[in-house]
Amino acid sequence: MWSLTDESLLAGLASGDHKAATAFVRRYQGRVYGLALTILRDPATAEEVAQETFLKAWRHAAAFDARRGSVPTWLLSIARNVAIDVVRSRRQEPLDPEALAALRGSPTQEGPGEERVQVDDRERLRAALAELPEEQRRALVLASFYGRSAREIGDMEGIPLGTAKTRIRAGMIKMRAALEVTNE
Amino acid sequence: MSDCRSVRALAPELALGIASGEDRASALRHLAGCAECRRDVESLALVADELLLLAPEVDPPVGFESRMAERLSGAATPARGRRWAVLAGAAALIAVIAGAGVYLVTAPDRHLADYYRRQLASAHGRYFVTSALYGPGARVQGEAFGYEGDPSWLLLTADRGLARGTYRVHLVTVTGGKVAVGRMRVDSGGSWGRAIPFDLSNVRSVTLTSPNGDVALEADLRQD
Repeated sequence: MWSLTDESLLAGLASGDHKAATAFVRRYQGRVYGLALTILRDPATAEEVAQETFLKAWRHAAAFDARRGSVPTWLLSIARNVAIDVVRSRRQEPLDPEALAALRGSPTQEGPGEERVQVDDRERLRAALAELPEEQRRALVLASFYGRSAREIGDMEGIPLGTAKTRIRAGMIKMRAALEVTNE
Repeated sequence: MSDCRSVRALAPELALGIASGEDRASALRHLAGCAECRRDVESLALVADELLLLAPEVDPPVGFESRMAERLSGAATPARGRRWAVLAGAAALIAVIAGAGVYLVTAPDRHLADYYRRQLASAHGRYFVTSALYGPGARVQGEAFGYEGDPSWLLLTADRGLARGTYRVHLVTVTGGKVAVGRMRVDSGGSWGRAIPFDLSNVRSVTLTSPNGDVALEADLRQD
């Protein structure tokens, strides 16, 4: 199971294979729980979200479309959406400065089944995120991790809607440029 | 919002899934027919996805794996042997922007459609319904995707085999009324997407009428 590609494991999940499911959970639990914890800051809730994420992955594995991205990003999108639903329903203050620092901080390590090229992408993204002006970085994190709209970001940061939109747009375009350079 | 410039300005928000319902609906109308803008949004959507990878990995509390294994053993086995719709191009991107993620299924099988409809239902009462577009002789010649939201919208895709031309699109309401909602250009297949003027729950079916006036295709969108 350990040397299987992400797609093979997911295919195992899609066919109801519990061994594949266990290996799948083991491979991604750190990422899924880590993202949930980054968003929610509460271990108990983060675990609930992580469990709900794997349940959804189990149910919807057959619907994965490799053209849309990799297995980890598919899984993390699920986790992000589940976490955002929780954040919205609990109305908690989402942006913990520690969370922001964590996104810039930890060294990137190759996970099992992960190719070197993916790790390099992450490094470039992390570097690009670190280079953004502080206000653009905050806007991007609020949008991508906490699902905040431009209007909500404007309210939270005390800026006009147009400014919030500009910060999001500028940040995203810079991040895309950082990735594109490597994909040529 | 019908031009490339406005849609490109909105593209980062679309890609991040944070655009307002209204903005999203009008952008989708443009995106259904503009491959270049779709590519722009798609490339940003990949960035949005990749950003999530930056969160640090943290081992969950002890026992997570066994608790998970227990929950999975109790969970219903994923549907096997069903035909899953893997959407391409406009349909896939538009569905993702609408927030339906990858939870899509072609549903001539109404039980499966119902299962997924319940799975997709969220706190905001939004859901996603799909149905085959049936032509003469009950042949599947396309697909219809409906999204209940603020506003509701409809996406139609037609297969290559459908005769070329401009089809009139009508919604048939649950009370039997027929409402014109636009025209769809078909030329070796086609797609059409638009916000609709009322709730998806009021729609019984969608019809495509060919240029010579026959009812060409129909998709059942009832929620029952």
